Amino acid sequence: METRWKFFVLEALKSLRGNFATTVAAVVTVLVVMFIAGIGIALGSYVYNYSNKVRDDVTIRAYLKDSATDKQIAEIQRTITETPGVQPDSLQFISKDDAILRLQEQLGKDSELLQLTLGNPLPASFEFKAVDPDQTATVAKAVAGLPGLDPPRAGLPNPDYGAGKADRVLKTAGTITLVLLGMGVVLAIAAVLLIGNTIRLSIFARRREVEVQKLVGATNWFVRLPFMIEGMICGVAGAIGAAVLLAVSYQTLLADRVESAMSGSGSPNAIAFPLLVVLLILAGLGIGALGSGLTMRRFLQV
Amino acid sequence: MLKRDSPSEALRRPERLEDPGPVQIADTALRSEDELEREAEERRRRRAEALAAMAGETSEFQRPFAPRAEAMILLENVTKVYPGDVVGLRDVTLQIDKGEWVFLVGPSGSGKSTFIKLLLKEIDATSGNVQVGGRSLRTLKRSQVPKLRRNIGCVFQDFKLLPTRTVYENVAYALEVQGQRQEVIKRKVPEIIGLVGLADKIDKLPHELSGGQQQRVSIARAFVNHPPLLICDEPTGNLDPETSIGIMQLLYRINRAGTTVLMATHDREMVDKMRRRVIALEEGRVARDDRRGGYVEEDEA
Ligand SMILES: Nc1ncnc2c1ncn2[C@@H]1O[C@H](COP(=O)(O)OP(=O)(O)O)[C@@H](O)[C@H]1O
Ligand SMILES: [Mg+2]
Repeated sequence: METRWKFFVLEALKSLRGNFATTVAAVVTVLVVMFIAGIGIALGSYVYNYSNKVRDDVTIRAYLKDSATDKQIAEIQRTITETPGVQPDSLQFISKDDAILRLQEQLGKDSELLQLTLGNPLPASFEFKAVDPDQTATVAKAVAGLPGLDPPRAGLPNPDYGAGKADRVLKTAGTITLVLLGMGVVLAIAAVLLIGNTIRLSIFARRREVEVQKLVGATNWFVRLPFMIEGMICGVAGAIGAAVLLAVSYQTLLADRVESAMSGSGSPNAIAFPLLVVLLILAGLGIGALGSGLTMRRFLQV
Repeated sequence: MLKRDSPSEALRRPERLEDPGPVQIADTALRSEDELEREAEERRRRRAEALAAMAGETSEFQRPFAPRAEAMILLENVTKVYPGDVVGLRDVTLQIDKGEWVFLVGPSGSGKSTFIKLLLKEIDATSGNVQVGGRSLRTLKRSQVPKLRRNIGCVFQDFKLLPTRTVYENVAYALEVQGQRQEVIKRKVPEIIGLVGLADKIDKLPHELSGGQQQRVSIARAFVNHPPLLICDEPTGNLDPETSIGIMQLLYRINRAGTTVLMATHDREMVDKMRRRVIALEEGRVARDDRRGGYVEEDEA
């Protein structure tokens, strides 16, 4: 059996070398498909994890007016502590300085310039959590409207607990994913057709061999397997190329930024790269098999 | 066993080829008559087994006549119409017995190749019943077609050899395709190549051989499995008369050892010399079926 597989794979490789130009065209198309699919999957999985994280992050922030008096602040703190359902040890006072420091940590050095020109635009705030995340809205309402709190503005409720934020993120991500999916499908169809074209040329180039195979009683799968393998080699080659391209472009374009932006622990992760590669290779196999399968149905009646 | 051509009779009868010409079957391949008979007996046994394997199914078709002997090929009212209303065969009914040698003659377009393609189930009859080895091809499943073809050796005018493979590889190919083990292939292939007289050409490529030698390779490939039926579509059509005689002698020996041979041909001299059964087609009909006929009807000749 081992020698037979060698026979089939060698046949497939021989015939791929035979029509090099069309093979390259097919492989490059698969590569582009897989590259886009790779970006789509990575982005999609990142956004999905991010929105989950936002949803789980039930921290309520009550922003204070810059003009709030110490008495008002103490009163607010008391109300929060006495509200049933608040996690007692979750309450934290974030001063204006704390707030700007956090932002600087997140954005890096560029933000120093921002502070120099604008002063400190960030308000002080109380941060606290509900014991039960489902109670977040109720708990937040108890604090709303206290004197010394910044009044809510359009689109910016106070206290703010990220209501609807997860949904907004998901909606945007959904649109992006849909666009990528559409592109992916169109390109996948192109890839299937181009692999089909490669296989068609192979069938033509080897029609004599196929004729002899039928003559001496080769079974259907014996005749078809080399072409099947040929298509799948195209698909896998494209997928591997895309994986390499994804890794390289991530390293050169994104790695630095992503690392600085996500240095904090618990930042959301995209799909693991090895898993992504496995997915792409499986998709490549599928596209290859489909391309050669459809072509053989038309051009290789055994 | 066989009515007209019992094997012992076939062996005793002097060959009808008066002038074998300068091309001889390789002497190394010739065995003593005893040996030949033992081998023939053994092959007959193996063929019987192969046939039994093919004959899993009996036809429910009402035969219009009683079969004379065990049929290798049976056509009953077979008509083949190609797309565009081109008639390939028209209501053909005939039987070819096991072990028989039959010439199929007729002008170009008379339906000889159509006849052969029907037997290989390359095409299906438009109407009527085709049986090979007792098995109806109408009800033969697609998946069983390879098995049918493994039991039919085929020799064509254009040899159908693979140009990038050596003589050995071309013959081995038929066995590889059938999933034979390498040790079997290594034993059988040189043996059959020796038998057709090409032992010294075994590593040559087809283009390094003469036409006659290439045809011997294709016969070796067709016969390496010892199929019970050998079909030849104008096997000597591309060869000069002297080379043709060598090829015919080779096929004749194969037939004498018990294999049924059906040969479409334009070779008038050969048909006239061998005096075998001749089926003449004209526009798809059987115009003549002579037991010991010539290329054309006797009173015409
Ligand atoms: N694939 C085909 N499609 C249409 N007509 C065909 C096809 N093959 C053969 N024919 C026609 O069938 C008739 C018999 O052809 P064929 O069996 O090849 O004759 P022969 O082998 O005796 O020359 C001819 O008229 C030929 O043109
Ligand atoms: Mg013909």
